[in-house]
Amino acid sequence: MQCELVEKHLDAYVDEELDAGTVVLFENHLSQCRSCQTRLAFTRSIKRQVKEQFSTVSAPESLSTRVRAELAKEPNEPTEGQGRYTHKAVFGMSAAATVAFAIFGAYQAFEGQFKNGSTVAESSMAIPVFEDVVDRHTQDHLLDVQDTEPDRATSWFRGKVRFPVRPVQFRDPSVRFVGARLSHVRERQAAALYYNISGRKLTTVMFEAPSPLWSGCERAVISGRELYYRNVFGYTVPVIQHNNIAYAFTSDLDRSSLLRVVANAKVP
Amino acid sequence: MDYRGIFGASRTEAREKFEAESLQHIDALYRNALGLVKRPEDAEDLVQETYLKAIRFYKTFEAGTNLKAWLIRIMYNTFVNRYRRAGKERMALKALSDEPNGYGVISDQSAKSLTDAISTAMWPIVSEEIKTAINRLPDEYRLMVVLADVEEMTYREIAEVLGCPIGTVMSRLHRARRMLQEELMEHAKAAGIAGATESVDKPAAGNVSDPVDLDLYRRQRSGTN
Repeated sequence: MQCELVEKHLDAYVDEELDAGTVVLFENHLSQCRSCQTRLAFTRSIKRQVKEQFSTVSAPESLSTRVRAELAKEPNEPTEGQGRYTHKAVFGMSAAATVAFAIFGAYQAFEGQFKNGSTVAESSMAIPVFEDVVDRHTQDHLLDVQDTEPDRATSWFRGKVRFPVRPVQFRDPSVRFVGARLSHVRERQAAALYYNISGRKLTTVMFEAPSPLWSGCERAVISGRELYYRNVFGYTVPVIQHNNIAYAFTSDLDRSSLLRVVANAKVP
Repeated sequence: MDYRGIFGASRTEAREKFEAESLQHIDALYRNALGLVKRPEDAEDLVQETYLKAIRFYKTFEAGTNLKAWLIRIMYNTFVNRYRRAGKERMALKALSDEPNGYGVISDQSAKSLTDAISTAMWPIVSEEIKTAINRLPDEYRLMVVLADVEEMTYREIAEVLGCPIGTVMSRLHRARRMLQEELMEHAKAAGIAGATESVDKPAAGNVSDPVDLDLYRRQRSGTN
């Protein structure tokens, strides 16, 4: 798949409107193309900003009161729908939906699966979470905390995020803590902790995760430890969940090295 | 299936439940109303009228489908019939669709600068810029962006609210976002965030940057075209 094609459908990808087949083509390209990754980050950034800016607008209290009063005055037997707002007119599913907008052929089939809370929907909802995690690794930002002591990070985060930020303890001696910054994953607060392991970057993102994230994940057993991981943008992202906190790891290491490092880590 | 079926209750109770659920969406209705009619007084009137219509036709609502989308659709139709100055807006929209898409593609460098500026809060007024840029979009374009990004509706739901084909939603949303990006780029340059040399690559004549036909692409790839 070429950059041009990806660029033209980036919106649909970010809006999660592409069918699974196309998503695979997309992500294959994205995993190898810095340019498109940059555009993706940009498109996402704008979408996020729009949401943030407009979500805060709420209806004035007086309006709610007035509407309630008006509704209470309405007779108990509403009139039957006139032609305009009958079910078919309002949600003419059969008419509009099946017209051949089959640019993305499997739209309709997947829409049913994705939008009504099935397990497919859960794993597809988890994907953006993992994508945010990878973004924290690839983005280049100023650190909030720079120190060789992970414990300093714990006290720095206190009061800034709702959960205690206790970094994992890597048993691998070549792992060096570089710093941390306050971040977010989707709409949740998160702590991003940055490490250096023999010259390669390793990032841990911690966030509250009361429900399991591992549907749709691969599973591996290393050193007797069960690990779930996901492949996103060419990165392997293992995740450990403990006490309702998720620890998600991204690294420039190869997959088996990263899994080994994580399997040997102690989660507090 | 209407609400009576689900709650197995008297009509009054079913209606109360419907009212309570509908009222949960008053914020969404209000902010979208503001986007359409601009003045808060008009927006409040529009919201009120929408709820009255909704309660009068609540039996036509199919429980289990997206209530918010249903309400916004009623509101949008009310807006079109009552508030939009028919001739003017229709002409403006037609003009936008007919002319070749003058909105090009932002270069990687520009995209990166803007993303960095936004995410590292180097650009404190970015929120105002985004709001301004969005409010300058034509009504339907703005509504689409807000429905997609703030109300998180699917393309299909948006198409149903606006009464247009899904393909139209896609191409207009695409265009609306390109317009937004270009505006932000201009403001960023003015604010000194982006370099004056950073540019938007205008498409070559005839090469509009609307979404292409992926189905055609796939058929070509597999040689079955």
